[in-house]
Amino acid sequence: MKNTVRMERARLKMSQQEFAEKLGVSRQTVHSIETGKFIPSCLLALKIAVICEQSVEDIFIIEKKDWEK
Amino acid sequence: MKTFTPFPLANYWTKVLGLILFSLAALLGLLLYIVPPATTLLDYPFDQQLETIGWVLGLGMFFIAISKEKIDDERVAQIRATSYRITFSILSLSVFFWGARNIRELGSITFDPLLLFISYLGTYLLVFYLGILRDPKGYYGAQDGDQNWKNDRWVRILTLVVGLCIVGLIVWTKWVAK
Repeated sequence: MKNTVRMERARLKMSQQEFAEKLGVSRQTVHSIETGKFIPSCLLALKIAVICEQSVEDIFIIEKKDWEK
Repeated sequence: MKTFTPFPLANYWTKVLGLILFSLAALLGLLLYIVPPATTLLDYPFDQQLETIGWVLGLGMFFIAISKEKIDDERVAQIRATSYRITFSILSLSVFFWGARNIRELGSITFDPLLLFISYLGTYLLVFYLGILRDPKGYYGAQDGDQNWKNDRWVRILTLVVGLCIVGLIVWTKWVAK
């Protein structure tokens, strides 16, 4: 799964720290989400979408390999 | 949103208390080995002193293990859950082999409670903090890679100092003290 969190954050001109504070998570978690090392929960993904004023599907894009078992 | 938590964790200050206990016990333990005669520190036998320090060390580790991180979010919770699973697997296997060997060789299973206490807490803490720190560029410092690398230097300096202290201690106790 890829995501556009970094781009959205850049569009909003927010640092990782500011973004993390808005989400109520650590900066390391934002970094992990941006680099694809951590897949957020549904609740956190929705929060990200609300902050970025986008839909969840626009930010988190499912890939073909995610369907493979 | 309310979520069910079967084992609520203690707050961050419990971790600070645990770190203080752990550091004190580790320091005292080192002193016991370095400063001869060891019995001058406290007024009872060396083995008992060492066991007491071992229990304080274990208690400190226990406090660290049951407390929250400063920012305890879902990523930390996931790492914690994975650490529990890995620790459970490692220790189940080691207890099995340990027990099986004892059954064969001694005819009974014997466990040292202190060793067991420290080993499962130690394994858990090692696995948990490796999980938290395995991405140093993500963990330390600011946004971009270059900035992170600059901030990371303190970790490298600290690692170097601790490493040199350990080597120095080994050299001193092995050759100089004798």
